[in-house]
Amino acid sequence: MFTFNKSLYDTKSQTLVTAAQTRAENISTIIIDQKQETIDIAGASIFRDVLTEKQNNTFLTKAESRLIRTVASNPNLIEIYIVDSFGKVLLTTDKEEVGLDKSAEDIFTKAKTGVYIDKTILYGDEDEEKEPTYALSAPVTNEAGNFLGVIVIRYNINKLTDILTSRIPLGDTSDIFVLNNEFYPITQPRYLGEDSVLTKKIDTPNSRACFDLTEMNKLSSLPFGKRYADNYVKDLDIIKNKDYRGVDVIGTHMYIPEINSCLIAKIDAKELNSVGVSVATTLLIVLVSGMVILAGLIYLLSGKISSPIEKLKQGVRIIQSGNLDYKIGNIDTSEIGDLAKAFDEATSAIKASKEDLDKKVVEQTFEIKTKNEDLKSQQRAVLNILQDVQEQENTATIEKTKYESLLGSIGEGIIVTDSNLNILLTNPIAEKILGFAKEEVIGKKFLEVIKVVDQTGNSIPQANRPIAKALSDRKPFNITVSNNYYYLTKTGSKVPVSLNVSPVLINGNVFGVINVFRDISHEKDVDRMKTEFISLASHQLRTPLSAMKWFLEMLINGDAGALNKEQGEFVKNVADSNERMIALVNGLLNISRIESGRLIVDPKPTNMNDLVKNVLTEIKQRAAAKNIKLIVSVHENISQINIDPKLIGEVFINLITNAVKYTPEGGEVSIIVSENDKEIISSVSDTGYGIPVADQPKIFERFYRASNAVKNEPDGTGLGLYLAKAIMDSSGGRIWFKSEEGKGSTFWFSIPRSGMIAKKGEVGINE
Amino acid sequence: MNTHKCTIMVLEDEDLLLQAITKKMKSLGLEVISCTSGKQAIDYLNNLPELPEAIWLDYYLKDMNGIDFMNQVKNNPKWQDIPVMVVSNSASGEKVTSMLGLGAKKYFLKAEYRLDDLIQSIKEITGCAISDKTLT
Repeated sequence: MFTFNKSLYDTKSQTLVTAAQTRAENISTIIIDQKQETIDIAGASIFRDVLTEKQNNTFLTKAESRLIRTVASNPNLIEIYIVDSFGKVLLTTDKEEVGLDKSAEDIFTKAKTGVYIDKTILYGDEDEEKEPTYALSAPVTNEAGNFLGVIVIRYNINKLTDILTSRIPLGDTSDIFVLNNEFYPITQPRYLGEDSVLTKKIDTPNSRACFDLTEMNKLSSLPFGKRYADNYVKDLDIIKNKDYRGVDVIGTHMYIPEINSCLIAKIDAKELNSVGVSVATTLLIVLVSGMVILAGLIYLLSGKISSPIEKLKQGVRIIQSGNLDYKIGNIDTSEIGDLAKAFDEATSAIKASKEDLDKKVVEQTFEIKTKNEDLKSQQRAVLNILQDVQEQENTATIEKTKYESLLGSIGEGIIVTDSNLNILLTNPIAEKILGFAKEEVIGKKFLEVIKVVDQTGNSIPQANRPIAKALSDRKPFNITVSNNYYYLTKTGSKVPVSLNVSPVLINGNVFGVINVFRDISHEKDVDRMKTEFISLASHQLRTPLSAMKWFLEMLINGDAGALNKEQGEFVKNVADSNERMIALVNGLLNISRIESGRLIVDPKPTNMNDLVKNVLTEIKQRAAAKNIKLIVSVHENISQINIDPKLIGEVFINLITNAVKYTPEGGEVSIIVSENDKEIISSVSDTGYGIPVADQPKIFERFYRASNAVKNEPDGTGLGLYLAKAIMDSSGGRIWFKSEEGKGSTFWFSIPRSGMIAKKGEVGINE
Repeated sequence: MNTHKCTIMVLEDEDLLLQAITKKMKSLGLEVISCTSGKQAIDYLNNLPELPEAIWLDYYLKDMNGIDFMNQVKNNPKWQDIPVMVVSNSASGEKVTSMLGLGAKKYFLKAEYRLDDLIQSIKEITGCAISDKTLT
């Protein structure tokens, strides 16, 4: 290997360096550009979608057509494929590759964290002409940055080839090509056929010098744009060696880190040494012609002085050939010497300005190129975004239509507001119920447009409105038939409504409120009919029952004459059945009152001790008749509690009556009332028959009676425990039990210390 | 003890119930004025030489309800001291409160009580003697 020294650094070889420099920059630019293109394509939302929902046919179809369109619109793209997070090909423009496993390939593994450029390979089907290609892959991630898969784009090398060939020829023998890091040409070298690409190894001193580690590292560490700057170029070796043909060449190289490849530029040494080779740079021609004119002028002016002039002439020739570093040096004859000196100065100045000009041209060319590429990638990004926007718009339109038809088909009125309670959306039912057209309410304040009154027509204060509560409490709020809540229509008429108001919460922030409501005029009618039925039942059923009760009483009493023993038994049976019927009617009435939500809850400070005593006066006799011992343990100083004594009394009556009823003669029933800091707990225990395990889960069901209860005590409605539980449920309490067949049962119920919540119902219990 | 034979006016629109009440009262030595409507009762009150010792009133009557009847009784100075006992099929808190507020002495839910118990109450309200032999 032979290195030129500075004095031999001639125009031709410098031109070669400049050419290599600009071409390497161009190639880097293209690759950087394609990297960006890959990132842009990988960023399209449809690919994110399809990798998130791999079974979604809509996404699959959309993503595939997007791939096909992208390849069709860019002649430099050969194929694109999408690899899922497991390394399996999900979609591709070449259907045969779907399902291939890429999990072990660099193109997948190395692209997980950023863009990866895969080595150049020959690509094409068996029967087709193969062409050299390289692939870029980029990760697809979701919004949270999680890895979803990889997009792989395979490019042909046409753009690279264009860069190398479509320039002003450097000379008759100049040859520029790109070698991959295995020393195989990526582009076709001048003196080799097309089939040499990626098949013929080119291992020359020049190529080896390029893949020198120190040099590769140095270039890789330099940012693009500064990489091939003068400092590097100045130190660059101009190598004289034999090329792949074995011909002596002068050459240089530029390592291109983006593709881990080398650009090799060379020219035959023979051509470099020959005279009069056309100079590529127009600038240089002008410069040289200037020098020729100058030299000619000097020559004409200096006829007599031959020797200095000769020296000068010789200098001009050297300079003319392009060596601006040449100095004429001292010439004795003073005038001529001055001239020579001035000439030398002029040459230096010209050289400096030429270098400056060269540098500026390179810099500006590069700048323009960079800007142009920037513009192109921006344009592409914008197009990508527009395409995304279009797709999102389409999706949004479909979604919107879906929502609209969904909202339109729902039987409930729906009004959606933002977090300031401005109306955003209404559905046709809402408009129908309220009599407003959509346009009249959208954008207006919900609380002002939608007026609410109670049963008597009084407005409900805004702060108590369910929508305001749902917003302030961040909790759904319900209004049912029993709340007697009315919307005022546009014309001012009252419509009874039930409501479900829910805040829309995203990460704890309220984004709006959804108000779903129903016109319950019909329910109100049904409710009124139910009330009427209860009233009717209580009157009409009780009348004949009372008549039977009283006539039977007189018969048993002997008011119509004494009955014989059997007659007396029969009449007693009828009287018992009648009593059971009366109990059943009462139980049913109570249940329908509770279930209709119309039961009055009227809490007042109550002493549990007194309550239990009151209850027991009604039961004592029955217990005594069965010789059952009643044990009552209520703490003397137990706190008063705010409860409805009628309702809690009813629970006690049911539990104690059951305990007495289902305990054999001589047993024990104990009633204990205790308190802790949260609740008052009452219990009723007996030493009775107990509830069989099989019956336990159903014991609180309406009309359900345990098998042994039916056997031992045929009388009974199966409504007592159901009623007790219904009362506890509706008053914020709990009821539970433990029972063992043959040993007895304990029932507990608890009431929060805060007591029961008052309710303005319509009916009381046992009326 | 009052030896005068007590007269009780019974307002009950249900004929069988009226029969039962009347029969029982008579068997206990009480005089009974049986009425099946409010108007009939008012007529009797206006025209009878002697006022009854007490009125047994069913809340629901065919021509008026208990409150209307109570109002007429209590607004008439001559009748306002007659004790009234309400025996009804319905005993909502509201009705009970209104009737007791208007001066009714007692309010009973019909099907819950035996006739004996109800008549015992009449005895307590009026102080009328009831032949003990039949009271159980």
